[in-house]
Amino acid sequence: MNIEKSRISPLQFMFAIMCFIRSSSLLSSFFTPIVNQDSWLVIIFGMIVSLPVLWIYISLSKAFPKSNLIEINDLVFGRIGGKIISAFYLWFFFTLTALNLRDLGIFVGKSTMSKTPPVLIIIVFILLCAWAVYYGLEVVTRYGIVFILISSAILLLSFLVSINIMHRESFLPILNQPLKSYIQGTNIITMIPFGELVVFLMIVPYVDFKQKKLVRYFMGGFLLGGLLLLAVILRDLAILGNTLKYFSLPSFETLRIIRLFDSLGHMEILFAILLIILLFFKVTLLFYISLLALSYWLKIETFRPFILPVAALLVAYSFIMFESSMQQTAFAREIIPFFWPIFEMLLPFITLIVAYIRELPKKNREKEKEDVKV
Amino acid sequence: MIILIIVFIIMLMIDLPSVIRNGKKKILIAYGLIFTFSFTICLLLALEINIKSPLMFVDEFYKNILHFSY
Amino acid sequence: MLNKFKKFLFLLMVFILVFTASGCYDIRELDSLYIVTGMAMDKAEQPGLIEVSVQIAKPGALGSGGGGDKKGGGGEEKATIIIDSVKRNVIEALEALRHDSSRTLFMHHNQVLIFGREQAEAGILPYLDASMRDQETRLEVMVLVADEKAKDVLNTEIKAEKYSAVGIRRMVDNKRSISKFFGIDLLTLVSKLTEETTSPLLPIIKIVEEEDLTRLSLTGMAVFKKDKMIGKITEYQLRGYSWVMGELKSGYLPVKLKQGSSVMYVKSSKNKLNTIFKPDGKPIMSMEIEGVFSVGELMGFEEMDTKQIVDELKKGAEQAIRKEIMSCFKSVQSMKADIYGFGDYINKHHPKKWKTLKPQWEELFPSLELDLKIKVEIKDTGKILQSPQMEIGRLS
Repeated sequence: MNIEKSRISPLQFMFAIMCFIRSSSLLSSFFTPIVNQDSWLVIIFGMIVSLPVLWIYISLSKAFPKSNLIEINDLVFGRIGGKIISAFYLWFFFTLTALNLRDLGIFVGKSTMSKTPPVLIIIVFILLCAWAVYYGLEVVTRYGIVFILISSAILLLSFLVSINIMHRESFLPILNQPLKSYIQGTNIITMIPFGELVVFLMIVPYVDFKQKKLVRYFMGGFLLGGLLLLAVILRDLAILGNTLKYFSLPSFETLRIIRLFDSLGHMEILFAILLIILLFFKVTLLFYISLLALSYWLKIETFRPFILPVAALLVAYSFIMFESSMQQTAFAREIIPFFWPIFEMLLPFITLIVAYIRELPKKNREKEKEDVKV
Repeated sequence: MIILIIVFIIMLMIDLPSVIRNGKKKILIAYGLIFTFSFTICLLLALEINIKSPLMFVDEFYKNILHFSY
Repeated sequence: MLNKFKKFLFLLMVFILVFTASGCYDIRELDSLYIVTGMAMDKAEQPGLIEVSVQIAKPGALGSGGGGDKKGGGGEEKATIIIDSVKRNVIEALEALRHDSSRTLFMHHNQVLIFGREQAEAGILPYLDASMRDQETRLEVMVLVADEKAKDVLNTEIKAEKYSAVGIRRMVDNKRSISKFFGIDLLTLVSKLTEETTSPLLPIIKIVEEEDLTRLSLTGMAVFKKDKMIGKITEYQLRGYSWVMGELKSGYLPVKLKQGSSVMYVKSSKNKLNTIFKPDGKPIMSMEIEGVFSVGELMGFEEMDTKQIVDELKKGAEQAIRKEIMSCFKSVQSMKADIYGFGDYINKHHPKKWKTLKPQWEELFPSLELDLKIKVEIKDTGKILQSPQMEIGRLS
């Protein structure tokens, strides 16, 4: 069974990871009020903590180079066990997609179209995503490079034009808050953008890798994406200083302040569009992965007929998810740090251990060899 | 409400022919299930019937039973 | 390949169309808007209420351009309208204004936010929240305090400007070119209020009535404790403040000596702040202030050569700067208002010591010692090397 026939290049894969992490810069308000001026440190901590998690992902996909996460579950836990575990993942993917869809609706509402009802924005958006998904993985990831280049260029530009309103003192004092807030902040940042990379286990088999290069591109995407995120936070912090904690969209607020001259200010709409595009990329990728997981789970050769009903379900899901944005923020701060690890660390880790005990990948290879001999 | 039903009928019109032409029963059944599920949820939402978010179950489970929260 | 490109173009166009067109949902035509240029908040006569006034650029006057201004005509109409409403809070008042007028208020171009003096003394924080939360207002709006009633300030016309709020903004911007601390925008204000021990300063705008015209003038700054105004510092003291903050970019410094007097232009200033802790744990703020000047005007100094004059001027300037700084420092010490953010500085650079200092900062600040080291450099004497007066003096 092979649903996805197109293959993407390792570079596209890497840029997809970067885009994925970069678009999370919108969500920085989940941890900025907790750690204030040390937000940037927390990102570095988060990246360090994420390294072993990434190691789990990489060793999983190295052990099963031809299978995606759902297939791995089937192989490792057997038919019924695999189905159950995969169902959890499936729910997780759907939730992630709906969450990001919701964030997108809120962001567009807050930044540009404050009076357009979010339902319209979300529907229009998911239709666009559905279209991209219809054409498959190659189309979904193709423009990641472009998005990253544009966003990096704009990031650089915003650094240059805002250098005179940055304050070095914004970063002081360093490490002067209770230990608990650092742990919480690191936990959030590890779970929300970095740990979500578990979704890439679904598409690793469709990348034209030579085995050894997997580490390089996976890690490369992760590190570069993390650096971009770090740069965004550094800029926001340097400009907003101790007011960073008040804003629900710090990056956007920063961009509103930046102005070149009297007449050439308020360019935030351009930045807003850029952020929307990045989020579009993330939602499309997640949507694609959810559909792929769904069809593998049902063992059906195509997901195309499911695109529209699932899209409608996602729209509904994104609305019933939380009653208010306060609830969402509280959930992201208090529960997600304990809940996401089940999917992002615990389950992959268990999978790896069980596979190791059952010596699964080896058996496969022997089988393949036997097949070749026969 | 009416708009919602129209939208779902349009969806059905787009997808159903290709599903039937495909000829596999499994796909048809899966499609039917997903479509009905999605339609029910959307309908409930449109009728303003409160659906408890699964995330809120998790929230309560963690807060009241496990006491795992910052 | 071509097919793919076409697909991409198609997708791009749909993307653009969808995102621009769905924004038309709350389309507002220019002629159905009231463009707000300034906002004033006063304490209403009834207790607990606030009077919110907004200045609106008059629709008809828009677009006629700045070139066609008539001069001196008594019959010229005002280009602005002022509407106001008295309510319990800002949002209620703005909503009331929205309902009572034929057009919707458009806040994006709001230039200034002026608090009446009474309101400033009663506290401004509750009313800042609405301005920060609203998606339309910008954080760069300048915040000022009116000497008396803020509404009257908005009502006062400025000769050269059509919309007085824009004029006020330009006045503040002008002063800010001397030092960025002379005008404060909403973001900086909130940032200072967040630093728990720092007292923000807001410029005071005053209506000056002369024989046949009234005009506005920015004089001094209002000193706030938390969010309540508790006093004022004068222009002279304000310069002392900006020496400490190390941010003078222009301006002048009059120097009076026995031999003569001079006015020197400030080219730039720098300050290196440091904290020294005495054995008993009390801090001393030590500063190395460096000012660069050029000579603007010389009077007197007879029978001295240039080098001597420069040396004398340096000494004089040092004295003058010290006097300015101390005048300001003494004044705010008596108000117990840490306008410099010294407390925050210690917090940032010596966080451990700050933990013990913070509870007693209120008592410490009035007796805080300054250790000033002032270095003056005179880089330039202007276009002439010697004063014409000096030549005459030498001849006689």
